[in-house]
Amino acid sequence: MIFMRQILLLSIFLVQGSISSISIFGQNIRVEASFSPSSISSTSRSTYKVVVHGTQQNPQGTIPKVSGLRISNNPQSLRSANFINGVPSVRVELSFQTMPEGIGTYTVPSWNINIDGKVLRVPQASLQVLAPSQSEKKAQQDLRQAAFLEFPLEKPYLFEGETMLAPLTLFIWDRLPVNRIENAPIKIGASFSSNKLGKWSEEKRNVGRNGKLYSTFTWPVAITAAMAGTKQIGFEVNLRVRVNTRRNSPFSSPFFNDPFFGFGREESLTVSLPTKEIEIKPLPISNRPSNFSGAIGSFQAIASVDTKQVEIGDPVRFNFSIEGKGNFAAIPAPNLESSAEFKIGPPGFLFQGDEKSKFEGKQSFEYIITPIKSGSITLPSINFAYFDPNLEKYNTISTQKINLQVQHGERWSKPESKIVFEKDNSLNGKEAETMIDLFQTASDPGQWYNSLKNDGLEKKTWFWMIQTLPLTGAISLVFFGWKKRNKIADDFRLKKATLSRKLKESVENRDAIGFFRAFKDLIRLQISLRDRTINTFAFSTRELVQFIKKQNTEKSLVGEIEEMLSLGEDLEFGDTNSKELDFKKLQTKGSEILKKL
Amino acid sequence: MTKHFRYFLFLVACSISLLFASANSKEQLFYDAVRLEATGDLENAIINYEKASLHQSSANLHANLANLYYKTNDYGRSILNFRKAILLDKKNRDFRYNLEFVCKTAQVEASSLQKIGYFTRNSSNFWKAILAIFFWSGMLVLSFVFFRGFHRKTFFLMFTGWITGNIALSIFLHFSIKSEDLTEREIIAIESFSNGDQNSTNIINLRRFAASSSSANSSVKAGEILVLEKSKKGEISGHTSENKQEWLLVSTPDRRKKGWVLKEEVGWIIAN
Repeated sequence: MIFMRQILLLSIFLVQGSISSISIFGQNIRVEASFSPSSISSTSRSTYKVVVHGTQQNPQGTIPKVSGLRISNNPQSLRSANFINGVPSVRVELSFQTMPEGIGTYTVPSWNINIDGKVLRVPQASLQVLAPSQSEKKAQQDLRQAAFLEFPLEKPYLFEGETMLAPLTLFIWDRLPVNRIENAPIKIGASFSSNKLGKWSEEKRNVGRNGKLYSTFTWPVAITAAMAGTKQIGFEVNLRVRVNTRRNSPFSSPFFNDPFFGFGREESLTVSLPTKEIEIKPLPISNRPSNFSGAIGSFQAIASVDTKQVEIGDPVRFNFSIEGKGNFAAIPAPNLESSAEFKIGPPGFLFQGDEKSKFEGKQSFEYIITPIKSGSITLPSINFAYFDPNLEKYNTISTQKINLQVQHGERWSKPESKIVFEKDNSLNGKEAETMIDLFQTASDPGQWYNSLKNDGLEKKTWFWMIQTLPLTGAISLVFFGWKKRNKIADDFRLKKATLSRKLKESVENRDAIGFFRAFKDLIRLQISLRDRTINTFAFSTRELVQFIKKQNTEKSLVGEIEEMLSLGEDLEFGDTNSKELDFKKLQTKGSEILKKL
Repeated sequence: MTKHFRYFLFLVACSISLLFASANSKEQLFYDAVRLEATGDLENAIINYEKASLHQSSANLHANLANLYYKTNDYGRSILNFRKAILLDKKNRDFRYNLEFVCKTAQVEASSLQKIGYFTRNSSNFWKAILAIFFWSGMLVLSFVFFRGFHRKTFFLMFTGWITGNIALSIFLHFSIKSEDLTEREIIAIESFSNGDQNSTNIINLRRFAASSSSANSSVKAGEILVLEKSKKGEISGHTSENKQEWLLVSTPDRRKKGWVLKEEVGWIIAN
């Protein structure tokens, strides 16, 4: 990643250089590399310089990686042009900040750079890192001791799920110019959960430590182990400090031995707690009570009600409290079920103690119990199981059963009302048990409604969606019906034209049988218009005449039709001779009948 | 996973968390009210129930509130909240008995115009559904007759019957809507606290004019049912006086008493 950045930056310089470069032809290009200073102490920094003479083009290349030496990926570039004895001289200089990680000699090996397509060799350069001097060591130690965190634990191990309270203390040396603490300590490591840290809870001045005077700031931290194994935890806090603005300070330490101490710029200083390793033991499986729900610590439990004499429907507060030290934040409310004698609402939670750490105090679970039967009601005892990490065993606390005396409240006793049901004759005049007790308080809200007003059906999307189904059906039926009708009409016209042509041809050819058959079919066709549900082509002559009669047709017309049809049948099946027929007359008569029909 | 999709998921998560936050709030108020009632702090219990009712309504919430108003001798508001509770849970007999008891104590009539359920014969929804079923059934039958090519006479007879049925059902629907409108205009006279910490009065004056100085036509007891009058335009008759007091023209269901009341002197059962 760093190399990629270096390549990118060098490329940017190359582009910049190409814009503003002055090409000096005739001057030899040579490359120099060195550290400045070439010898430093382990707490100081040096600059790795690459100077290219004879050009102002920015070089392109990749600096080799040197183990133990951190090289900045943000080089500074400097271009210069001079006339020395009338000869122009140009150069480009790249400076990389370096920081050694230990004592020794670090050598940047020879590497290649590319300028204007020419490959040039950067010579190797060495940096000697020496041990810090006595005063430097002192300054370094001072820096380490200037601000630090302490987190002492009571014991070196925890049980899985156990909560331990320990003070996290920030020590700030009085000489350290701290403007403010930027943030509350932040936990490092996911194996533990901790309470949210806000402002420190304790502040002390002039606390002696390491021969120095400190101000201390303490946060109570309750850490809870999340999983078994050896896990690490750390904390970090940021301080806002004023630092020396002078770059030529005798030491790299920005804070000390500076005559302008206190007048510099502000910087953030991160103070870290050295990582602590804590062993987390799993909870023992043997002898674990079935109702164990994760409570770990040392507790006492008590159950109570605010009153033992109540009326039906009156809410009673049932309080179950756990007091002691432990993981209160992880303890769920005991599960209490409603019964035939009482209804029970969801519990209310109340913690008395340090709300932030929730390690030591009293956790109360308040249930609202609504008696629904009169008489003596017994509230069941609660069994609370927990694991004691000091004794390393499980304990169970059982609370005492509580008796409530429930009286009848106000009752509705209007005798003629429907309210009194099923009078029990066996009571012999005593008050019926089925009478209603009034004004009972419901312990749960039941179903919630947005409005008391019923929404109209027309506002429901489904109402309109459903209606699209019959609409589609109706449109489809009308469409196909219309299409079908058009087809029938076309068929009718075609059939009529064919039969009329046949009738005409029969007259021309003097084909009596053909003429009467065509006439009969034309009658059937015409009649079919009156009732489309009946197939008139299946009718015999007699049935056809009867059907015409039923259709309120004129008697004279029926007679004429009957006469024509009989003549046709006689010709076809009888002895009548067709030679005697006047076809022209018959055609005129047939046309008139069909017209009238 | 695209950026847009993540943004969409974020929005969904925010909406869900907001919904849950709202739900917790009203439920928390309810349970707090029950606890306060258990401690005997009826005044703050009422405040909590009223706050919860601003979020959403539930039958038990209004019933508990009505119980508390009854215990604090505020019969008007007790009756109002029992009516709301019954509206949400019509089958709950306890609410009805409680309402009857409070009405008897307050010496007011217990009968109500509100006999309309969501889908009872009196409800407009019932007639809307019947009309829709009849309309579409008829439409389908007529379309089928047209498709099959039945005789014109048959088609005409069926069409006439269909039109007549639709008109008849529309008339029923019209009357059911009118009946619902009357129900929605039903309000309850409640005790007035207009004079700060002064004692409330359980008599509500029906004034001749929309002004505090106006003499009263007649009066009703707290807890009695009133009906909001409508203007010719179909809007509720109201008036805002110069001192920003809102007045409503009301009458008793039998229309024997009529007059102006302050908006604070009545409680809306269904909507405000």
